[in-house]
Amino acid sequence: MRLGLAFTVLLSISSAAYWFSSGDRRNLVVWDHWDVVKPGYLYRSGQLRPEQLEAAIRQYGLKTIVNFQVPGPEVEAERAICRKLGIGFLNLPMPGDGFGKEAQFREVLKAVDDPARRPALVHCARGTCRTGASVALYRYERDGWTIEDVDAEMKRQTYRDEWLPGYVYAMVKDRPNASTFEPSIIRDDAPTATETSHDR
Amino acid sequence: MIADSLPNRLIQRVRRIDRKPESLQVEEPLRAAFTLASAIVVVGFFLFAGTMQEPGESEARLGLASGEGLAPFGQVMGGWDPSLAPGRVLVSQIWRTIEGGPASVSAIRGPETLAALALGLTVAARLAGVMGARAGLFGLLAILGSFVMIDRSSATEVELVLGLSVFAAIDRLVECGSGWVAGLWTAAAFLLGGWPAVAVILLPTLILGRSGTSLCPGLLLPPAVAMAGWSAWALSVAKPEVWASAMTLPLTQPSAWTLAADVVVLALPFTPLAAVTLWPSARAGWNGPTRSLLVGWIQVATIALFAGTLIPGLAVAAKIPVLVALAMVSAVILEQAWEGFADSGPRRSVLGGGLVFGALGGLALVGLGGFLTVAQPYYRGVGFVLIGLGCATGLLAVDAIWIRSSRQAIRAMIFLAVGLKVAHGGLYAPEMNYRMGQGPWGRAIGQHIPPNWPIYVFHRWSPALALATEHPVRQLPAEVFLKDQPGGVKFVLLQDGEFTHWPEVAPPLTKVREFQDERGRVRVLARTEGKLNRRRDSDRSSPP
Repeated sequence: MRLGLAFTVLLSISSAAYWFSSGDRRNLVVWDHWDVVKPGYLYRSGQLRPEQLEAAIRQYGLKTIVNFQVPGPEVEAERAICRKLGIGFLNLPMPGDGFGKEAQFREVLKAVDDPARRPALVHCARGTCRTGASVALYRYERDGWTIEDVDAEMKRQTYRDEWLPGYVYAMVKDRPNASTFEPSIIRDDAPTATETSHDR
Repeated sequence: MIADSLPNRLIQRVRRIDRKPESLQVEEPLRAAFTLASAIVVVGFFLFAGTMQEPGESEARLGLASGEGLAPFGQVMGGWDPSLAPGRVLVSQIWRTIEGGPASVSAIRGPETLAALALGLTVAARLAGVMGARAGLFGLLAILGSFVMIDRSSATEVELVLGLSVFAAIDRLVECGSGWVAGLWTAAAFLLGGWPAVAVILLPTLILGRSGTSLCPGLLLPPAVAMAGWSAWALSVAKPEVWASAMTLPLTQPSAWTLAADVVVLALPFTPLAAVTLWPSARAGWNGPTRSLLVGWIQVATIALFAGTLIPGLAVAAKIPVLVALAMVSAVILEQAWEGFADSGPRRSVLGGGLVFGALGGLALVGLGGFLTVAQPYYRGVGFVLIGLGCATGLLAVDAIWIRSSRQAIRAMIFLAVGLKVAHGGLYAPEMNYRMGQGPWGRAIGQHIPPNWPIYVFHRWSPALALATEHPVRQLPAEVFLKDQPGGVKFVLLQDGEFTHWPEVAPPLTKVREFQDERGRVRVLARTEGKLNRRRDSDRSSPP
């Protein structure tokens, strides 16, 4: 009887887990990889279903949607939704691994910097690499975060490789550099001629 | 007189050693097993992931003070902070000196963790002395497995280093009566938490008048000397207003009307078991030493609870005695339940409590774990663990009713405590750090300034942000005073408007970097003009 009870509970949990995971694969349970980067400024997600995108636009007052996926039916559907709701749409197609061009990522900064175009939602297919890279540049350029903190945030969003934080950091214009740490070359006195000949 | 008192002391000591009944003598292998289990509780349950949460505002002020010199008050951003007691700051300063580097979270949480550990082990030792090793293990679990010890952040408003000194003084009073040792602990409590800590220690003595406890010179002299010495030191280095502010600050706190409820929640998940003592048959099962220990602590906790609720400023110091008493009573009930209650009333209470908390807690853990597994990929691993622990908790709780086993109910509660620990360390702490922490925002500023260089500010910034910069922060009353500060180039942290309207009479500034904060507001890091003349790496250990 006790075993029967345990079996029933475990069966119920397994069934619920299967139902939830199958729903999750179709993006029915939650908004895929949705998160708030900075309230009123920037949000991020994976590919949302049309009704989810409309709900997000209304709930968060989004004014710009940035899609990093290559043009296709999904992108066109999203563009149509944005036109219908009267908000901006920006398509920045780039490889799925997130190694986009600097100019593309800077388009996101322009959108977020403009009070008329923010808050913005950036998203790709899963909300990890391309979205993560664009958010990383925002963290570096606007918030000034360290590379370690940006790396930690990307890992939190399930980015498991090591490359993108460093790749994006190379694009940053305003980082700790030689103009802050002056003098940039500090050297000891030159060795004497005797010491030099002795070394030889 | 001394000759008379010595044999009496010896007799008392022998009685204390001799009072353990024969039935409590535990066989060596079993004792080793309990010791191993205690080590697992301490390391796996308590120490693991115990210091990962970022500090709150009060903890950050302590962290900033640990980076300054020793003084009668804490020093935060270049000014006195009368709310920081010198003893507590000194403990963090010692930790920081041993650890090296700038003030950090570990200088705050490290001493707190060690204090909590000492407190837990002492409680366990006391219980093991009167009821056996298993009761000690239950005591360790009840205190280290409680919400307050799992969290250990400023949100709980419990100061564990101060708490340890309060506990040690009261423990000495309950065990051995008044004397110099209790007096020295009371003096330490004063230096760690001010007069409210002394009041919490002495009030029970004054009101209860237990045999062996009195307001003798040994108990009163050390705190009086500590108070006089500290006052003289404070008045010699600071204005009398600062001393007066430190003395009256506790009285400006509001009364803690919810103290009782707060403590009960902080002591979860084992607290409900303390209610089983309401059954006379449960209390009848206590042997003499157990009764003496528990009654002493219950009396102290009751007085502390009333005093902490009614007298402003006493709540923080009063929490620890109440928490310890709850943990002790809960542990004794756990031990009695494990052995089996003769009466059905207490047994049913334990089973009912196990079912309610086990089933509800299990469901909550499974629900949370399921949500994380499906919706939060980063926490999927934690989610799976929580589902497993939740299932075990719920099934054990139901099974306890099924077979009417108190032991099964206790196992369910232990699984629930482990589940809470995993949920806190695996989800709550990292989420709070990510959502609310000032770490990334402070480190963003600090990385633009050479090591050990101070940052000057002109109004109060968040202490957590200041601590996260990993630089000394100095608040000046006005911009013109910047030129009077030692060293060459100075770094200043300003709001956008402050930088725009920088006065002409102040030293001219160059913008180093602009930052947005977590709400999009702009901060500016600027520096005075001139060459930085950064020291070589070998000179970094000393400030400019």
